[in-house]
Amino acid sequence: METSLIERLEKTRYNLLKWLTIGWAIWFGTFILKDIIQNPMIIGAASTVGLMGWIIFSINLIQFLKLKRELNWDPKAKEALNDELHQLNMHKSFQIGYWAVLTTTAVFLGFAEFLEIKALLVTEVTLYLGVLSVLISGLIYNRD
Amino acid sequence: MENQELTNQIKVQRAMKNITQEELACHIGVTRKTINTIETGKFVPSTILAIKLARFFEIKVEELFTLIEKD
Repeated sequence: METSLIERLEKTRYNLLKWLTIGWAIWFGTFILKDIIQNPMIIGAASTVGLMGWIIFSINLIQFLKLKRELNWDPKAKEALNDELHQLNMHKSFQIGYWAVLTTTAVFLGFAEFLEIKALLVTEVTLYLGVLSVLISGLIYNRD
Repeated sequence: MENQELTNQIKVQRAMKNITQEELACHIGVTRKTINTIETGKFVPSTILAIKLARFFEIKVEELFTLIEKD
């Protein structure tokens, strides 16, 4: 197994994760913003920015899946990249995501006592924060 | 566990063998970051990984990892 190959693949994976996070934050963030703010001008601008976010997210998701598929050809590199530290970091990231979803749901439940909130908005925000927290914590845990 | 600390001799053993973290990681089948976090005491490895490391350095696990009592 080539030493620099693992290092290079790890950096590639981290960069893909970083751009996935940026893409998701922009794309889904503007998507929710459009639902909250009804101003046509803001909707227009948010759509353009959101499209850019969607493109960033999609390209990096495809690259991420491609990298995963390529690793199937090199079981040793795959094993090294998915070592126990990486698995632990992933586990911790998903744990944070789980708490983010629970907390968001609880906050909305509290607000629902005083305000009328659209069910779709609750779902969107919960999904947004849940995924974003997993991605951000993944970046923090996996940084060098 | 709070008044116990796991120390290791990986850095010393690496120096004796004159190999880098990256080279060690390659031999063991993990990333350089994993070796780095074990070496600095940020991450406690599994028994399997500890045995792999000890075997590589041709020493006992207890010689590579030591559990010390803190005050």
